[in-house]
Amino acid sequence: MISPLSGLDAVNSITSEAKPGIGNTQAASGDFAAVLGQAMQNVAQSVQTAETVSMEAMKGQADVREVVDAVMAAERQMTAATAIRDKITTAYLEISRMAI
Amino acid sequence: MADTGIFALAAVHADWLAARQTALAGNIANANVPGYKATDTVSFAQYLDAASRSASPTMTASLAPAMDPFVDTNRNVAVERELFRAAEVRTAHGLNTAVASSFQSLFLAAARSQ
Amino acid sequence: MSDYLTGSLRIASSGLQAESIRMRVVSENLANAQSTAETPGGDPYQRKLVSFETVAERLSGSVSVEVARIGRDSTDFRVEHNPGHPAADADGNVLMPNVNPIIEMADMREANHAYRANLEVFTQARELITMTIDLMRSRR
Repeated sequence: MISPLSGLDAVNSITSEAKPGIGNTQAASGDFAAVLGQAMQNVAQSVQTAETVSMEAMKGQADVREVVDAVMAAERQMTAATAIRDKITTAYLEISRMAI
Repeated sequence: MADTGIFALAAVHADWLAARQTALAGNIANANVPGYKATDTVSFAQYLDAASRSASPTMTASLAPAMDPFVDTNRNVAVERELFRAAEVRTAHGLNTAVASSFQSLFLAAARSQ
Repeated sequence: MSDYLTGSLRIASSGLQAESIRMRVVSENLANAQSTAETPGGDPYQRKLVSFETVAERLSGSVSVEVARIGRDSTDFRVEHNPGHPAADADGNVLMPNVNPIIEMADMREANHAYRANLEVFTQARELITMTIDLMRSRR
């Protein structure tokens, strides 16, 4: 579960170094988009896996441990992705409110 | 995130488990009735198959129990075996509701804004 | 649309009721194991028997049980020679109830066992319903 956490770190470093100005905002938002995009992809992937494993377990083809692992992984990814999304939203609003 | 198959499957699974609970409730209640033979259910694979074949796009499978889940057997009731099967139903149902609850949370978290 | 879970609650409670009637009857038999007639040569307490029957409702899969009747055991009464007894007949014999305490105790154990099994089904059915309703409760 290292990738979503490092994504969070990337967001932290970006927001702390961002300087007011249109040019910098462009560059910063490009990185934001990439980080968020990756997080969203991870979430979609893990939710899909969790769903597949859960459906298999109901049909008797997977066991409880596998379901619990997959669902918890999806929840972690989701929490990380929404944290990133919320941080980016906050950062963007902060930047956009700064006096030029 | 559109509605996915997990909820429909969980609903059919929960229905089948409930039918199973009814069958073994009947077996345990009638265990001492002379000549009573145990009732069983069809397998989940059969029940799911019937449900998926009959469900229309606008109606979820759980609203239309597509097949009679009960089967008559020729066995006498063995109470301990029925209690074991009851435990199986309990754990399967627990998993079912936990999965449904988790996916519900995931969907709500995704839709909720900060 | 049939509701299987509440159906199984009903079935289990019919089982509980039937078994507790049975236990009551067994207790009555035990309590009256020595109850003779009050008049000479009269009949003593006659052992009671419980018969169960199935009440089937095939459509909902509901197969509950009920006590069909409480009948009498027609086994012969025991004969005890006790000339001083108020119920002794001309030969000094007293008719004693056809109750065998050992058999009654075995019946009681069986009824108790069946009662507990039904109680477990009842408890579980109620739990399954609660778990389903709890899906709607707010989550973290």
